[in-house]
Amino acid sequence: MRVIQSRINTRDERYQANYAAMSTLVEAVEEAQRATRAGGGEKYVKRHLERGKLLPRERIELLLDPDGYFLELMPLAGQGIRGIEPGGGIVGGIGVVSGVECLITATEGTVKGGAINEWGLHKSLRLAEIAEKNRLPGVSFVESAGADLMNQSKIFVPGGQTFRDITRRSKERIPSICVVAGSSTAGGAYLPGMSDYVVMVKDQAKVFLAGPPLVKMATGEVTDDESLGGAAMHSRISGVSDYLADDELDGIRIAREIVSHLNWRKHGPEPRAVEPPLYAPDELLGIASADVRVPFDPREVIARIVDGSRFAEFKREYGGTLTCGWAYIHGYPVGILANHGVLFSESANKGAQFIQLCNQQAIPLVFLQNISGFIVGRQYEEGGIIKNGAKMINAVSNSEVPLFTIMTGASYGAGNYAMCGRSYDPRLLFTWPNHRIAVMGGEQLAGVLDIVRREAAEKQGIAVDEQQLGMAKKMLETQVNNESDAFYATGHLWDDGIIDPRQTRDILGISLSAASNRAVEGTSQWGVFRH
Amino acid sequence: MTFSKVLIANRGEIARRIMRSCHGLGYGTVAVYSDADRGAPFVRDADEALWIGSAASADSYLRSDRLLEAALRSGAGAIHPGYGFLAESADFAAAVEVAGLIFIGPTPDAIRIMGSKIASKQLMVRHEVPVIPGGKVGEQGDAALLEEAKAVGFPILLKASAGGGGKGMRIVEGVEGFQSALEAGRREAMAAFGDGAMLVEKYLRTPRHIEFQIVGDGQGNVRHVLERECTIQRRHQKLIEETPSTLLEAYPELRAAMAKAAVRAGEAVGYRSVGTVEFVVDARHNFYFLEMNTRLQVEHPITEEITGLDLVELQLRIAAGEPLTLRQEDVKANGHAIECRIYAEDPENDFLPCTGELVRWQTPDDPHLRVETGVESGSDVSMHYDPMLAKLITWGPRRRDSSRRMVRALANTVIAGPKTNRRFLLEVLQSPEWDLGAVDTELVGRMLAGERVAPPLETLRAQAATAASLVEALQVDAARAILPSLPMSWRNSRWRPNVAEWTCEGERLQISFTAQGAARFDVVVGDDAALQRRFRAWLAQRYATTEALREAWAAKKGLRADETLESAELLTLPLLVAEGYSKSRRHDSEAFRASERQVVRVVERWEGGLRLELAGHIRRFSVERKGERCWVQCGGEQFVFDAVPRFPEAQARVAEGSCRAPMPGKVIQLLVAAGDPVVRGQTLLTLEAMKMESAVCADQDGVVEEILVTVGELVDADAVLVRLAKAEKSVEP
Repeated sequence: MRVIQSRINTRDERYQANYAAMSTLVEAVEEAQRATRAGGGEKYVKRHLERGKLLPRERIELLLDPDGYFLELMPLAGQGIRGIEPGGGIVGGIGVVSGVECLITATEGTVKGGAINEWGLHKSLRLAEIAEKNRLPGVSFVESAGADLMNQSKIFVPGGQTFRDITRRSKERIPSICVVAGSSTAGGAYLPGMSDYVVMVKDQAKVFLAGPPLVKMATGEVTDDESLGGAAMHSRISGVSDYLADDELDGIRIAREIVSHLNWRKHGPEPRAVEPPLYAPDELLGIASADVRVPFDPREVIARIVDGSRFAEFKREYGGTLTCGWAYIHGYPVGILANHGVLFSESANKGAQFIQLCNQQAIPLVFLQNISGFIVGRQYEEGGIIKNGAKMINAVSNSEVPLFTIMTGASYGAGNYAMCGRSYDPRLLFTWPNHRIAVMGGEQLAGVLDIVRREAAEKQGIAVDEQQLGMAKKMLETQVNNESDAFYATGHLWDDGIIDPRQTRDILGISLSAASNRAVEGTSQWGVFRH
Repeated sequence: MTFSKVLIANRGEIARRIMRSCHGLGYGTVAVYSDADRGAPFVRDADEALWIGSAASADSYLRSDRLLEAALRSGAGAIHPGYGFLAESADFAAAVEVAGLIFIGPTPDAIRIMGSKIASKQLMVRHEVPVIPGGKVGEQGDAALLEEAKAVGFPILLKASAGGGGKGMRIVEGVEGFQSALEAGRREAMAAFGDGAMLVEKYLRTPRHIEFQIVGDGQGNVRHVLERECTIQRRHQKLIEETPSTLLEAYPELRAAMAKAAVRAGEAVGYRSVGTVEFVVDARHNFYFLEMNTRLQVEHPITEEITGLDLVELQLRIAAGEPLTLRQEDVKANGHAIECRIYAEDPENDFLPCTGELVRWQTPDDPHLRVETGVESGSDVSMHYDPMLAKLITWGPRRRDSSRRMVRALANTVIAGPKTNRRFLLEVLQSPEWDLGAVDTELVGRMLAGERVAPPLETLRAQAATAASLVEALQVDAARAILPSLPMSWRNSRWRPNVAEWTCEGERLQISFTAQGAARFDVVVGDDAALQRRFRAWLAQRYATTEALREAWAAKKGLRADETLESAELLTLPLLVAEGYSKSRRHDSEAFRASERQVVRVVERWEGGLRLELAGHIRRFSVERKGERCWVQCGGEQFVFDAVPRFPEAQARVAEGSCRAPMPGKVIQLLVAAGDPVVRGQTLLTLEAMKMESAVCADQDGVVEEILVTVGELVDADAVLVRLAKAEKSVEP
C-alpha cells in the first residue's frame, strides 16, 4: 500500500487558525467531561466516601486490567438538557477486564442517589445495544435509588427493555455480571435478578421489590433492610446472589475472577502487525476546518489515523467528492469512505460499489463524514441523483460488516444517511468538536424559509414586512445553529461521544477490536437497486 | 610422595579459589558436598564431587571420617582443608597422613602448638616474640578464672582456648559482667569447637590489628610475604582488610621488626605451607603476638594482588615436596589492595545473619576488581553455613585508587535477596577516618554506637519505587493481548493515573503514573513532608563530624604519622569528602520532590533493570522481582519494596504476646517454663543461628502461657516460639 504524501503546512495561516479554534473546542469538551467526572458534586462525593464506598469511576478503574484501555461512551449524555446531570447519572464504556473486552456500567450514586432519569435510561439502552451488537460481556455496578419518581412517565414504559435486553444477551451466550454495591430496589432489583452472575457486597447491597415502608403499607409486616434484602440473606437464603463479597474491593476481585473463567474467545479476526502513522495526530487539529463550510482533504485525516499512513485508494479518478479505499487501523483491515465535497451521482455510485466490495470480503467500514448533502439542480436531478443516492443508502442500510462513523465536520441532509448517520446503525459513532448536524445549514434553512414566506406573501398580495421577516430569519438561524452543534448532538445521544480528534485512530482501533468479539461477516443480499 | 588429584575438604568461595590454582597446575579436583550444596557452584567447578552428609556441617564438612573416605574413594592423593571447618584440626591433619595422603598445610604438631593459646604463647616467649599479658589456660573453675582476670587487670578479653574467628569471645569491663560472659562464652566455644576451655587476656583498647603472611617449606626456609592490616573489624570479625598497612608505611622500622618476629614464629615450629602471624599494635606502636593461623587466610588475596604470588600454588608446591625458592629480598609490594567481605546480614538489626534466596548477584566489570564468591544468582543462602556471600578485592597503585575502585565496585554490585552489610562497608570506606588511614579496631563499634543519622534517602527511594513501578507496569503491559499497539492504560476521559503501592521498611509509598507515549510517564510520588527536615539534620551531623576531625588532626600536627599521610590533602580531604557526598544528595532531594508531577523517561530497559531520566538526570536502576518482593538498587543503595496487592487478602493477625523467632535457627536454651511470670525484655530462650547466639525476649509483661518449642528444635524465621498471657493484676491470697 502506498503511503499518503501529506501536503500540510503547519505555518499556514488557515492551519494555525483551525488549530487555535479546534484547541479551544477540545478544551471545552474536556471541561465538560471534567465536570461529569466530579460526580454529583463535592458534598455528595464526600458523603459517599465517608460511608466507605467507592466512587463509580474508582470501581471501574479497579475492575480494569491495569494496562488495559477504557473507552468511556456517551460521557456527556443529557448535556444541556434541563434537569439532567451531564452523563445521565451513569458511567459506561468498553474496557478490558481479565483480558476480555467488556461493556462496563456503573451507576453514579452521588447524582440524585443514582436514580434513573430519562437520558440515563436512553444511554443505558444504547450501552446494552453496544454490548449485544459487538458481543461484549457486561459488568455492571449497581447502586441506585430506582426510578426518578417525579419523571416516571418518561422512563417506566421504555425502561422495561433494560431487563429484556439482559436475558436476550444471555440467550446469545453474552453473559452479564452484576455487582450490587448499594440499593437496587423495585425495578432495579431485576438488574441482579436477570444477570447471569450476581455479586453482592456485604452490609451494602440491598435488593428487594419493596422496601420496609412499602412492605408495611402492603402487608403490615415490620422488617428491616438487611433481613429483607441484604447481601447475606440473598447469598445464603434466597439465592439471588451467587457471591457474597466481604467488601467492594472483594466484590470487584470476584467480578474479575468471573470474567477470567468465562473462557472468552473473540470470534472476529486478529489484528496484524501495526505500523504507527507517519504523521503526527496532533496536526488533525489544524487540518479539520473550524468553519464546516470550508472543505478539507480527507486524505490528510486518513494519513493520520491509518497504519503507516498507507492507503490503497479505490477509483481515485472517479466520483472525486467521495474518497474510498482500504487501509489498516491498529492492525485491523478497514474500508474507508470519506467526503471531499457534496455527493454527486458518480460519488454515490462509487460509494455503493465500495460498500458492496467490502461486504464481499468481510471488511469493516469506516465513514469519515463531512457532508453538506447531495448535489442539487436540474442537471443533477436529470442525472438521477435521487436513484444514485438511494443506491448508496441501500448499500449502507443492508451492509452487514461492522460500520463505524466519525463526524469530522458537517453532516447535513440525506448525506448524513448515505454516510451512515445514527439511524443507519453504526456499531459506534463519534463526533469531533467542530461538528455541525442538521437537515441543512442554519443560514440555508433560514434563507429557504425566507424565500417560501416571500412567495406566500406575494401569492396573497400582502406587502412584505422586511423588519419582521429579517428578525424571523435571524431567530431561526440562531435556533438551528444552537441545535446543530456537537454538544447538542452528544447531549441528545446522536453519537456515542465527542472525541479529541487526536484520539480518532486509537478510538477506531478500540472500536474495531471490540467489534471483533463478534464474527465479522459481510452480506451479498441487498435491496433492489434502481439502475 | 606425589599426587595428581586434590580433594578440597571445604565449600563455597575458598573451595573455588583452591580449585582454580589446582587446575592451573594441572591437578584434578574433587569437591565434597552436603545435601545443601549439591547444586552449588563450587561443586560444579570440580572435576568430580562426593557426597559427605546432610546440610549441618557437623554431619558433613566436619566429618573427618567421611572426608577421608571420599578421598580414598576418588583416588585423591592430597587434601586441602581451606579455612574454617577442619583446617586447623591437628587430629584431622594427622589422620590424613595416617591414611597415606598428603595434608596441604602445616604438620599436625605445628597446628597443635599454634592452636593452643598457652603453648603457642610460651613458645613465642622463648623465641623473643612479644606477647599480651595473661592468656594462660589455667584452672577452669569460675573462681580461678575470675582471679586470673583480676591479676591481668580489667578490661579483659575472655576467649575460647580452642577458638578463632571471634567465636566464644567476650570483652569484660569489670567483675560484675564476668559470670554471664563466661557462661555464654563457654556455650559458644562448646558449640563451635567442642571444647569449652576459656582463658583470660589483657584487653587492649583501640589497637590496630596487623598480621604477617609467612610461608615455609618445612625444610628450614621461612619467609614473610608482607603484612595485612585487618583493623576494620566488627565484633572481632574482620570486615575490611588492606595491604600495605598505612601505619607500617609510615614506620618502616616497625614493619621490619614485626616481619622478623613473624619469621621467628614460623621458624619456631619449622613451619610448612602458608600461615599467618597475627599481631596487635597499640597506640604507642608496641606490638604483641596474638596468634598464628596455620592455614590459608580468608584475606589472602590482597597479599597476592600486591606481590603477584599465588599462595595456593605455593601450598601445592610445598606439599609436593618442592623447596621454597622465594628469596626474602624478592618480596616487594606493588601498589595497594583492599578486600571487603560482603555478608548476608542486617546492619539495621544488630547484624543478624540473613537467609533466603539470592535472587540476583552480579559484580561489575573492572580489570582491577577480583571477586571471590561461592554464590551466584539463584543460590540459597542457608542458615547452615557462614553468611559471607563474597569477597571483593580491588587493587590500585596507591591506597586511594584501590579504595575508590572498591567504593564503585560495591556500589555497582547487584545484590537482590537477603540484606547485606554493603551499605555499611561503603559508609566505612567513605568515612574521613578511613580516608586518612586513622583506623583502630574500635572504629566500627564507634560508628555503630554514634548517633548516626541515616542519610536522607527518601528521594532516591522514591526514584527506586518509581523504577519498580514502571518495570512492573511495562512487564504487565508487554504481555497485553488486547490491542498491544495502544498506549498503556489508554483513556479518553482520565479519572486518575495508574497507581502502584509499595511498602518499604514499614512505610507505605504510592507511585502514581500516567503513560504519555511509549517511554514517557508523568509520575507523582506520595507526599513525604519529613524529607527536607531529615536531610538538613543529616547534613548538620555530617559537618559536625568533619569539623571535629579537622580539629583533632590539627591538634595532632607535628606527629610523624600525620605528615607521612599525604599531608597536603590531610585537612581538606575529609571536608571535601563530606561536602561532595552532601552535594550529590542535595541534588537528589531537589530533583524529586514529593507530590510534584515529574516527567520520567524510560531511556533503556533490559531484563533486570532500566535507565530512567528523572529531571534531566539519567540513572541506572537494577530491579529484581520475585513474587510480591522487589529489590531496586541504584548507586550503591538498595531498597526492598513489597507490593501492596490491589485486592488485599484478609490477613491473619498476629496475636499479641506471640514471641517469634527473629531468624531461622536452633533453640539451644529455654529459660522459662509455662506459668512463669515474665517482665518485658526478659530473655525467654536462646536461639543459635549461624553459630551465633541471640536472645528472644518477652515483648510485654505477663505469664508464659505456652512454649511451642523444645531445646534442639530447628525453627523458621517468624515462627511463634512462646505465647504470653497479659499480666493480670495479681490477687493477694
